Amino acid sequence: MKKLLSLCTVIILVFVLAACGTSNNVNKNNTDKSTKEPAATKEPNKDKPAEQITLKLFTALADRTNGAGKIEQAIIDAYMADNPNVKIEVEALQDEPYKSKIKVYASTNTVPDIIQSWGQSSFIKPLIDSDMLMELNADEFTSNKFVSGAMDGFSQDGKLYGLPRGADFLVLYYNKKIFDDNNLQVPTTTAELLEVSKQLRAKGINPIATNAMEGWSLPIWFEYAAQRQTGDFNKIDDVLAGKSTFASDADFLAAAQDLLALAENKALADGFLTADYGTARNLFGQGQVAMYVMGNWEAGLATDENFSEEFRNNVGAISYPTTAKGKATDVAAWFGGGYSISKNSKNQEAAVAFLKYFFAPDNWAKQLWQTGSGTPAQVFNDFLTGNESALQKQLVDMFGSMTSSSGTPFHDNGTDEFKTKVMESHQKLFGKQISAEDFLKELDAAVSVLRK
Amino acid sequence: MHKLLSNRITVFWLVAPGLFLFLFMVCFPIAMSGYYGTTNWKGIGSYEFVGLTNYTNILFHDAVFWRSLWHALLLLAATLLIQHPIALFFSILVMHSGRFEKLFRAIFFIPAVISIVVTSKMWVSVFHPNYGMLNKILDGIGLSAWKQDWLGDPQLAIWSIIVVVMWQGFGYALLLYYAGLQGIPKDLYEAAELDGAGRISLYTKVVIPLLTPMVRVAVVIAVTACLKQMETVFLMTNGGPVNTTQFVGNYLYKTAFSSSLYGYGNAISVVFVIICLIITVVMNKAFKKDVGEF
Repeated sequence: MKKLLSLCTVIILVFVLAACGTSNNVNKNNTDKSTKEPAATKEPNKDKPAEQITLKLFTALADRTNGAGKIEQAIIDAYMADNPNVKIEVEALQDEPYKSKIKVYASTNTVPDIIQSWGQSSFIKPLIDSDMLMELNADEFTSNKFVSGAMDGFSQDGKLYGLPRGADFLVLYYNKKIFDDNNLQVPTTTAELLEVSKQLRAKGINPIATNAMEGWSLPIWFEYAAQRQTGDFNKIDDVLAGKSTFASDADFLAAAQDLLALAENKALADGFLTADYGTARNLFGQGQVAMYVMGNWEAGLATDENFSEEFRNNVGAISYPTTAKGKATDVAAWFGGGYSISKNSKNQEAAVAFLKYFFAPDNWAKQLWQTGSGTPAQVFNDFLTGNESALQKQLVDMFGSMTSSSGTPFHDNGTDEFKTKVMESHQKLFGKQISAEDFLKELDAAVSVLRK
Repeated sequence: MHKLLSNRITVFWLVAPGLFLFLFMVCFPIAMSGYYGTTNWKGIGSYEFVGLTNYTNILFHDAVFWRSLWHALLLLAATLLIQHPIALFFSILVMHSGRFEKLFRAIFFIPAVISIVVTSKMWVSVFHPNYGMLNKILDGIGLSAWKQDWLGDPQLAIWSIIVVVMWQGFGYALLLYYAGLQGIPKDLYEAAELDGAGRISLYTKVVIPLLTPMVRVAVVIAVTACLKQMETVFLMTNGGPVNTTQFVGNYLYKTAFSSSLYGYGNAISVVFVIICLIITVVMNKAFKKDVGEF
């Protein structure tokens, strides 16, 4: 018996040690591969230029039959029809699962040829730092007419690693009918927003919906609230850069108190803390909530056949209500998702060629705009048809008249740990779990994570 | 045969396939987790060895971890003290419901058959403060004052989750007790009746003591189910609002995959495995007593 036991322990030990050993071997094999393979594949490419190429494209536009995902798929299909030797295999997942799976790909060194990336350091920085993305040549894409500044988030140390698909900004959607029926005005100042929320509550109507369960809309909301107090979006960037703190600034305190006042007066729809994206959107679309804090990509609300015609005709959007310091033309706007190419891709040239085609003005920018699925990060003035919905016009006016913008949402300006902490402290504030002062302290604690 | 089994090498080769499977599927990943738990790995890129910092942080500084564990114990208590007595009572009723026996058996088992995704999302709708059925019913019967934000209120949310998990597991508990009751020989009932036992003493003195082996199985299943609770919470609240419905499985997932703290997440899993082992040992000790044969 004793012998058997010791035999077992030996076996276990062997496997445990082997475990530590194999992980090293795997890494070695991978680095070997990455250095050898390009050399091995280049030569046959020269001999047969029309060789069958398969590109893997990994995207976070999970809905392939609606909106932006449909357009992406249509362009891919058109490209494959034009180039029979290129086959593009699409893998699509929702944002959160996408971000989890890309880490699995990255840690096993099998990043697909073309991936969706976000020009925000929480996403793109680890990939650039681990040398997994291919450097792009910005000059190759001048004909695609990207808006100035659009590529900044995708650049590091002056090198470009990705191309932006769209411009995003947070707005306040409202249902005009609910306001008219109750003899209320759509709020234009932050004080009016609070007042209107109180009055809507008194009439038994839920004032504002947003997807607080996922949590990412809340920090952008705070950026608005802070800008309306400080008059400057850059103050938050200063805190992130270590030049000041949240807790030491009276304006940030006032901003946090503004949000807390909204929460205390039940300005947020019942159950908002457990409302995910779809729930919040449906509440607004079904006319149960008067206002909806969400990005401009929801321009399709005015054309979504799932909602009543009455709603579609009454939905509108404004920039976040203003103060003396913060104007409606100061918008929390940023360049969001885009594409990057894997450094380990065997078909880098084909991938670049596809992206050039994808971003040709007549493809992505035109189709995205004309279907009302979002705002492209490229110049799209030529594609205005005059048939845009009233909502779309409001959104494009807001975008066109913008005088200052927030840039990357501040929770995305760091590591994932920072992001989670920032979002959780916002959920606590909106959930009335902490005071405005403690909220700012928690934000400072989250910033200190970045300094470690 | 006896000679064959006394040969240690033969025994080893007979045990080997199962043993290797266990090593590769259980021991090996845990050892890997233990190793990664000592690093600050973020999922992508290189990592450094940080010693036992992650483990000490979990044990002494991580309020959310202990809160998640507390929720698991709360769920376990509710399961054992509320769900199981009701399941036992209903299994007795089902056994005596004559020609409806099969029908009721099927009805009670339906929640356990439907996918957890479906039932969780259904309950989210039922609990919804605006269009949820629960609040509408309260409105309808004139109890508007009792209306709540069932999943959004930090005080209430955990209880709403517990009710749903108990509902989902009710069918299994009922089936276990029902099977246990079927296993008790009919002549024991007759003997008890001849001895003058009434309905109540028949069950409290004869049937329930004889069910002990089944109770044991049911308790073990309840303990494991409560500790590893993840999917219902993930689908209903994802631990929110503000971690008031967090469970260890979900917290671990969130730490590793949302916050990208893979090192820390691995450390949580190892600490959790150790806690589960301790609970298993305690349970085995507690259940050592045998009921005897019948």
